[in-house]
Amino acid sequence: MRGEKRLEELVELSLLTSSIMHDIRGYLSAIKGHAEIGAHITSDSRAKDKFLKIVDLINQMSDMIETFGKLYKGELEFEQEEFFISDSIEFARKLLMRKLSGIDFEVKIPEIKLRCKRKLMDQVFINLISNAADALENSEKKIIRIWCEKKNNKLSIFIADSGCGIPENIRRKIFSPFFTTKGKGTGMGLYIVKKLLSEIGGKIRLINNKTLSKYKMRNDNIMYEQLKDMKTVFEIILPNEILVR
Amino acid sequence: MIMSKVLIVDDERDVADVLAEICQLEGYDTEWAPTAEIGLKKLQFDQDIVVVLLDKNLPGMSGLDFIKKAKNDLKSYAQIILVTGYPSAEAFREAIKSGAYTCLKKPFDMNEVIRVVKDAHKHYERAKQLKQLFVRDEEKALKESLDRLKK
Ligand SMILES: Nc1ncnc2c1ncn2[C@@H]1O[C@H](COP(=O)(O)OP(=O)(O)OP(=O)(O)O)[C@@H](O)[C@H]1O
Ligand SMILES: [Mg+2]
Repeated sequence: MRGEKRLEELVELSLLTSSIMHDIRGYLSAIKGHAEIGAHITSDSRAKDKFLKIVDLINQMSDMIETFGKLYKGELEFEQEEFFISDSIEFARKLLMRKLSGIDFEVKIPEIKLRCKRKLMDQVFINLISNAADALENSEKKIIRIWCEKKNNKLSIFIADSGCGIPENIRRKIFSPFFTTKGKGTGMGLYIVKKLLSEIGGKIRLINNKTLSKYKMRNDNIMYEQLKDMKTVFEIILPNEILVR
Repeated sequence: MIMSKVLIVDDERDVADVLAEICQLEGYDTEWAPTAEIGLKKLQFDQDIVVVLLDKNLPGMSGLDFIKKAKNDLKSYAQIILVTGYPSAEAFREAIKSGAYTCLKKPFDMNEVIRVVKDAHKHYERAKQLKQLFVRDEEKALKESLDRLKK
């Protein structure tokens, strides 16, 4: 019963969201247009920078809205490509460059090629790394670590940070749409990640403390070293079929 | 000199204003219509309109119907640019099939708007020239056959 109610609410919300998104696109067009005109007509170089900054931010925002809108309509027409995982991570790092300044970004991924929708993987990394960066905001040690491990025909990619960690009582909810603890968050990040990964037969989970200590006990691999100082660890599990050998 | 006009059909005033201002920067005169119906009236009676920037989602008559009416009923040479949220490949094809010049995605870039409007304007001039040539050819043919008849 409760599940049904929830579903109904979600459907209603998604209809509402798509009409709101249409309006938002209108407002964004107007704001961006004014800023571009401003940049065009001003002779003050500092004012021009400010205007262009607004344009830049609006472009980022509309990219977000677009992905979001496509998700609802199930129109993710990403193209199948062959690419190195590390390139996808590097793309996300570049995109989030400003957010990542002052953070140790340690990637230990061997040359592994995937054959799947590249943009989809990019989006997954963007969302997860962006969350990690947010979590590090008030931490003294600022580290993001990404590494991987092959086991039972599957590839696991770990994305971890030394940030604030996720309290026990909200761990269950973080993958739900619209769940957020951030003032300006949409709460769609992890939901989208989960949905995107399921499209290519992948999964994501948040490693709980029990598993974490179990991993730390293992002394046969790099796990112990990698987990040092890490507070939040996500594990992406990719199916064998998309690995290129 | 008569200024070429861009007609902007969009129920959202803020968007229409920005589009108008961008076109004005390039020396175009602009006209605004909040609905497709009003837009068609303006297009019918204002011969200076060379390009139409048309919102896809309008109250009442839709953007696509506007295009069909402008092309089939008014036989207008004005080039229509459809401005939409994110156009799917399908919607794009449909717009072009109905006679739109091209589509613009919202939110648009100023430079993109300028480029597309100018291209559409050029296209309008070419289409009109072709028509004049055609008319001249027709007149010539008519005259020739008249002459022949006279003989
Ligand atoms: N690495 C992390 N460390 C600590 N908390 C996290 C981390 N990743 C996610 N969370 C928690 O999960 C919540 C949901 O994350 P999600 O990415 O879905 O949305 P968001 O980040 O809040 O919003 P948005 O993605 O739009 O910025 C966050 O608000 C945060 O409380
Ligand atoms: Mg997030």
